[in-house]
Amino acid sequence: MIGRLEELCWRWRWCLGLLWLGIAASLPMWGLSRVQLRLILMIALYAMLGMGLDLLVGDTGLVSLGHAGFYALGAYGCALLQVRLGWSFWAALAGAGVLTAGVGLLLGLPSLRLSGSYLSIVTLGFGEIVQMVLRTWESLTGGNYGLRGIPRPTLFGLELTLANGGLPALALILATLTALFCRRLRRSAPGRALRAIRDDPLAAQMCGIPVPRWKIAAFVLSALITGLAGGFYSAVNGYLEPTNFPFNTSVVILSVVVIGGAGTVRGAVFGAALVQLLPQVFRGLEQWRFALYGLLLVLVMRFRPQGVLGWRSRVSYRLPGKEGQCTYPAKG
Amino acid sequence: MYLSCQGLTMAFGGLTALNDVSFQMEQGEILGLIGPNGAGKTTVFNLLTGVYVPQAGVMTFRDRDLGRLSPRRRVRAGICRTFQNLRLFSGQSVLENVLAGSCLRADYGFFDMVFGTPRYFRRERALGREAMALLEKLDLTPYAHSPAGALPYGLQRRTELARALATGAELLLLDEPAAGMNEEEAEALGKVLRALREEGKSLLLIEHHMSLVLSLCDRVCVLDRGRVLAQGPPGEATADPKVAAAFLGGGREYAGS
Amino acid sequence: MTLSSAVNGFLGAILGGLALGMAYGLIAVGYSLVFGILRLVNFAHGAIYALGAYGVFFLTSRGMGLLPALILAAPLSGLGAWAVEKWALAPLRRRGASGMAQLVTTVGVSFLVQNTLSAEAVFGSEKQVFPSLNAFGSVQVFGVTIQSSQIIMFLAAMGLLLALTWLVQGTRLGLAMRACAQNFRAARLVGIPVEAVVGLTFFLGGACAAIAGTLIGGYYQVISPTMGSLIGLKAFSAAVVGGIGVLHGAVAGGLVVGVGECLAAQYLGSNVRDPMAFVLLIAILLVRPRGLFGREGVEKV
Repeated sequence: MIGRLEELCWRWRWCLGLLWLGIAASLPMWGLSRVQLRLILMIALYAMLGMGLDLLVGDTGLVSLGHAGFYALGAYGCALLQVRLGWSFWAALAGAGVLTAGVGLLLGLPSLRLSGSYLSIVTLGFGEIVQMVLRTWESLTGGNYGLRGIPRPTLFGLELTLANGGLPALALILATLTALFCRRLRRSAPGRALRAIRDDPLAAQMCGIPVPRWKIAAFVLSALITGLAGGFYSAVNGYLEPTNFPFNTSVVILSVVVIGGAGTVRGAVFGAALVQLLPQVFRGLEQWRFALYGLLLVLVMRFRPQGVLGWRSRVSYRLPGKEGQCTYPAKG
Repeated sequence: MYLSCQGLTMAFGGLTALNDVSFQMEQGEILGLIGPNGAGKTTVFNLLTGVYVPQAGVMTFRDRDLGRLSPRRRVRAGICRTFQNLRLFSGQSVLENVLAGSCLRADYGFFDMVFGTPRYFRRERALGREAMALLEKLDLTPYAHSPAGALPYGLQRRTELARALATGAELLLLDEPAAGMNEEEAEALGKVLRALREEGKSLLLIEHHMSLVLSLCDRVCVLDRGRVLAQGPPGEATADPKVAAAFLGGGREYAGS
Repeated sequence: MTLSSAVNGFLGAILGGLALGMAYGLIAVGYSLVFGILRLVNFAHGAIYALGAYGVFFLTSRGMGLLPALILAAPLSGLGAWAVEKWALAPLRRRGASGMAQLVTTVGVSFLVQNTLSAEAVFGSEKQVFPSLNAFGSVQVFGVTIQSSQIIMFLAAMGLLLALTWLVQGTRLGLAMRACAQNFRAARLVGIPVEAVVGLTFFLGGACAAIAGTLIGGYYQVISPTMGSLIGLKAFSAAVVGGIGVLHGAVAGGLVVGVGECLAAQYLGSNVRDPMAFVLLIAILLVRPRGLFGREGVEKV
């Protein structure tokens, strides 16, 4: 059944895409409440964060526990470029992306020497160090007092806010672009190279894949996407403080990836929705909701360790191109 | 000279795996590398492909010094290998494995990919077609979409061969391609390998299947305890009493057919 | 600042760091033993540490003495850790799930335990005052004041670590543990009850963490439900710095991290204190990718 569904989605992908675009663009006109709009925005944002981390975790097999660090760098970078240098939001967002990608390059370097859990720990340390820098460098970041007065982004003179639906729409667009990018990457030679490295680095190297280069590239791309999400988050929040980016955030981003199913866009979207909706659903239980959230993580892993939507695609590999149809029928 | 190894020496800690090993290979030749277990055959492959760096010795391929090339550049130069204990990307399908092998020939830029330029689509389509053609040639088409790790052993070996071929290599280093096969399957493999030679590929192969070695190889190079014991046409080299002693004597077990 | 006060400050930081570092070592062995066998970073370990401290807190607030409370709470925390392995992790291993799934499971457990502790109906999220370890005030050594809590922490942790070393190096159980760490599948094949060994390893790690929680809680005289997350990360860094899977490495790593952070707090400011463990971690891993005492493995092709 899943195979049929995938096949249908593939056949009607252009229509689905247009439909999705319509939904995203008309979001401001739906008359949703602020709470609902914020929820949509946060789901889109976490889907984006999840997809960014997924490039490392799902595709390259490198588990990062420090993505809150990239998230924070993107947020602070974007905010500071606006507040201190007077850049426009869009320029600052791009600048923040470049900044985090550069830091991603630096953090990728240890991945050439360290493997598996050792690398995870270095990324974890990275996240903590970013927090320390944000706390300590008071003249730049405002330290523990935080950074206030971050302007809202404007588009053609119109200020994008939560209330007018502009920010959620922007979130959906950013998440969609990220999803398209990830999908394209996975269907291309670079994506195949990353998966080869994930499954067997030595065999990948013996196939002529430049393992160090692609590991670093994965870090850079992952950091770039996470940094852009961070920049966007700074615009949403309007103020920033170091406690916005604790280790728990890194864990939540990782949960987004793993709960839905690593290496897939649908998994990231599902994981993001779950992570954001659960606290809402369990709101009635007030003090117990985070405990339940932990329990749910355990249960999902216990009964579906590959992730809730982590099935192996039943639709065969497709060659890209205009004829894009299912070139070779799936077996079985 | 096509491929030449001169004085290769490699020691791990106190254990000398290779001691002054020299051999040469002509283009289009099938050279068998045989010898008892632990003779250092796989180490030769590891040196040729750049997994290890030899302590001494020179390797050249088409008169280029391999020692100066990274593992990746050696594949680019045209040398690719398979593994004794299969190293497939076992969670991925057979087709994906082969496509992983052809990654290095995807000569489009990052921006071609992001923006989907005609060049990108042209190259990706070409790679896909080549991969399918390769599967067809190795009789793997029915399994194209099966996870490689779930296939029977013989098919996995062929998938690994397909992956190595997908890199576009012209010199294939095959590490026991017939291991675990019965006579019939080994015979079929022999046919495939001969066909590859007809296409102009050169093969350096480690093999314990003596009947395959004798029928397939133009020459063999016998290694024992890290030294070259004998070289020459298969009949002559294996007739050497020293070789017989190495294989049968010394209480060592010979794991051939 | 006079020379002598500078020297005293330095010595004080070193001695305080050694005491704290020994307790870190006690937590770190839990990470190290589990990682050695399962190649798994057990993020639930920090929560077990907090659980142990809260267990002692609960019992002492009901009028029990500190030591009897600890003797009761430590095995109970060990059982908690054992249950996590038995009910959440072992089934995953049987299914052959990825390491990532196991990692996320331990993260989930840590969320569950921490947030249960901080629920209002249980202990609440506020900090609680913990009974002090200061049994006999403080002593003066070369003009440096040492709290008795520091001495107790150092000696207790060292005693336990010595006992643990004896257990791992000198008993049949330890032999089984080392066999599992070396080759899990081979250990199973030669008839070692690997699941029981893993369970016991979790139990030991959990009990040690609970004791460390009591020692550190008594040293700072304050506990909170989230006390385990940061210290857990530091202790894990310590385990990696020392060379994970190596018992004396965990202790050495703990001492390095403890002294490092006390020196950092003394000379670079208190903001630098907590991240110091990670700075040390990255610096040492870059120079020695397997940690101070870790062994380099050669991959067979």
